[in-house]
Amino acid sequence: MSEQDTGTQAAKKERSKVAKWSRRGFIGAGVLAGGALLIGVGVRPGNPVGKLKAKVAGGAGEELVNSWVKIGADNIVTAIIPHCEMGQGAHSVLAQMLADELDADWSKVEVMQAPADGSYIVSDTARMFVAPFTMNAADWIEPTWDGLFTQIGRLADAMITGGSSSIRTTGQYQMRIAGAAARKMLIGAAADEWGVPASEITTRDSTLIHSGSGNSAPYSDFAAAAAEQPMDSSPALKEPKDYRLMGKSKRRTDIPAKVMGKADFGIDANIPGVELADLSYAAVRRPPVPGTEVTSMDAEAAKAMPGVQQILNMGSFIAVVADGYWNAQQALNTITAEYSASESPIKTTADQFAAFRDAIDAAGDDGGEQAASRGDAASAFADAATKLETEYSAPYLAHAPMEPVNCTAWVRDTDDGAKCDIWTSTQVPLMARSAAAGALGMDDEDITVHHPFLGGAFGRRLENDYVTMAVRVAKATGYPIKMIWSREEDTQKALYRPADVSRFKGGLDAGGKLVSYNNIFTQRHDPAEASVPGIYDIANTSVRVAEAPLHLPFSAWRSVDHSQQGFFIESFIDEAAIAAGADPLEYRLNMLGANTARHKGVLEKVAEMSNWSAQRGEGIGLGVAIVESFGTVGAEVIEVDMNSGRPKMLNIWAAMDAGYVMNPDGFRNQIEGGIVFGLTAAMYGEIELEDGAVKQSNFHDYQMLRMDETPAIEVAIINSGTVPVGGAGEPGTPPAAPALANAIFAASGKRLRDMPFAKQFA
Amino acid sequence: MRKFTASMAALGTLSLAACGGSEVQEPVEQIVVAKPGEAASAAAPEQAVPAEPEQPAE
Repeated sequence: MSEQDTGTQAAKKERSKVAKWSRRGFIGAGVLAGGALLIGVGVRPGNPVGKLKAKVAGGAGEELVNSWVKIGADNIVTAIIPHCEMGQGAHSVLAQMLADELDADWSKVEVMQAPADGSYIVSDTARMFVAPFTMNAADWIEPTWDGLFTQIGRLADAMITGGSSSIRTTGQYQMRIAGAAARKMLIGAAADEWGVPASEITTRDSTLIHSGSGNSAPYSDFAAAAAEQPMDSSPALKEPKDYRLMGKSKRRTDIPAKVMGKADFGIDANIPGVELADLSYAAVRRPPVPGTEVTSMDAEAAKAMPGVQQILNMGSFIAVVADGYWNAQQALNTITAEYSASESPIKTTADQFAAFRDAIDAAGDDGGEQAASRGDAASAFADAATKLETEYSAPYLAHAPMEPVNCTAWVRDTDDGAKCDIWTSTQVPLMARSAAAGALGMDDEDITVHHPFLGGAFGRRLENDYVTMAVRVAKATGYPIKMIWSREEDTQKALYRPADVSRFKGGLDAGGKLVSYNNIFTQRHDPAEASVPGIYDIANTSVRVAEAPLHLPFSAWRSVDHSQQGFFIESFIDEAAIAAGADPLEYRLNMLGANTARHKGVLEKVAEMSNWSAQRGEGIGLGVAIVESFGTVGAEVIEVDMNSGRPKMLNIWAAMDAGYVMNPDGFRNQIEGGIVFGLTAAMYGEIELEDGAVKQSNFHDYQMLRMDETPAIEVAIINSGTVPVGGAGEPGTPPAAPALANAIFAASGKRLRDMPFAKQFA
Repeated sequence: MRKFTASMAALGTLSLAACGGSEVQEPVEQIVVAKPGEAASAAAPEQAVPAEPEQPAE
């Protein structure tokens, strides 16, 4: 297919929204310092400019006033990115958006990770999640919303990478404007110098050009003068027809270092002034059952182990500090301990699911919290020609990022008082700073967080449990330590995607139309709309939540509630289609409600891609699912061969409408990764409980989908022009499990209502 | 407005959860076997340093 399905209609929609983006008033002053032009965005009164300068422009010839952009004397444009890079490619695409508006030479654009500093909060990300209806507010109230969410962002330490939000918030509302404003200032400076109208100056590849006089110069020649130019807080942004970098599959900036083994991840942390051979390592063990404590430990054997420096009972965990990770972990393995009793009545997986079902039973026909309601679902069910009652379940899941959980910490006294430095992979560096400050009894300003690349996260690194553990050990020892969790520790004692049970009653009229939709489940976390079948026009709908206790602590897991709800809802809709004797894809198309042009588009596209209506061979079937999540509408079709008695996936097609895709190759990578992530959960993902503890421990019993099990994945991008644009990191995941379950049914007649699937086949 | 309130609460919850609490806690028991750079082994001197005062568990 073509690079993008960019239609005229999409371009018109995009143009109609450009003015809205450009009006936002968060651009501050551009100031020259030391040969570098630095453009500030998100600059508001009280920004600690001096502190920022030392953090982001401390190199030779660099000086910072206030900035997300700097143009060096060497004509290098550096985009300072507030989001973390965890393999999703956000650093590159955000720089791409800025560079396009700046007309920068992409070969001379560099990326810099913004430090953990309150000046780099991503207020628009917080705003999109808290109050998305304000994103395109009227001009008169825009400054109020902007100011309010700046303050909220700072209070909440909202320097967050999550929610598939980097491109659709920071990219759209900050990077593009920063680039456009810088370009306008450079043109103004050149116009003054050359004595020509600014309107006659063009830009291309980091060069200013005036054709009439024959003048041209690199941006760096005018960096100083440009900094003296007034900054336009509402620069005109490019229309799609003028994009040179946006919408193109530009190569990622982080890949070369990763391929060459030169990229630094959190676990690679080196402490300045400390020889790597002299660094101390900590291995840790938490009690096996959540909510319990270490009451005693026997460390006699550990004390005699080679390399051991300290052994600590921290109450909530045991730590062994040694001259290397291996020695620390080996010594830790010899320690026996006693733990306090758990107050949780849930000891096994069966107990947990019984608690879910008890809560649903107790809610009865009208109990629990009403999450969505329309018409009279109970009466419509009673009057239905065909009744359908089903129940689905999803297990706990671990995040299992490839880079082990780790944090290096150094707590020390200085002439300026106690200070702490942290090196870690985190999605929330400012929250990590606050967590460390709280654990140490220090002020935020005395904590410095260094946060390089993340070796995967999927929500695990939104938590700072490991940060507080590391700083406590470092404070106790008085010297720097690198704490690394074993794979077993992270699999068994972390935070989890919650398990859940979801029960449905559906009523079909004589024509097979779904006229009553009754649903009750127990876990609602985020986003709230995940459990609502809002894309479908169902006259009578009741969605309720019967809260039930979770034995394991909750953590956001890629796509959060959509990961379970997508499976529950799209499996039930499929069963309704089968009960109606209808084609599942046609059934969905016919049920779409108001404002679902995008949903219709992806369903029709994925039908075309998969040749949906073509007859398949014996034992081969297609399954479809559609889920809107994080601003992106995604439909997936999976082709499964059941002839061996076990599901063998043959093909996967996905049609995704994110409004406008900034980097098609990066977007496809994310969708493909999300699909594999979702299929891994569907086939194998399961965290079970035994005696209150997690049973699984490592990849041998917490399996990933293997290469030979993963078929070709084809992703189609539909640019419908929706603004704000949708996300990429998570939307590929939710449709995968229901599409697979529906395909297995189509191929074999076996309906799978409980994840994971693999163990249900001999 | 209900969604707004819920989202605000969610953001606050995320912030608090990510911070992991704010209570300063000292070790319940700290055994010093060796210092960094020393030839730490079974022969190394041992110092048992009881926490003072002992803190309640986290």
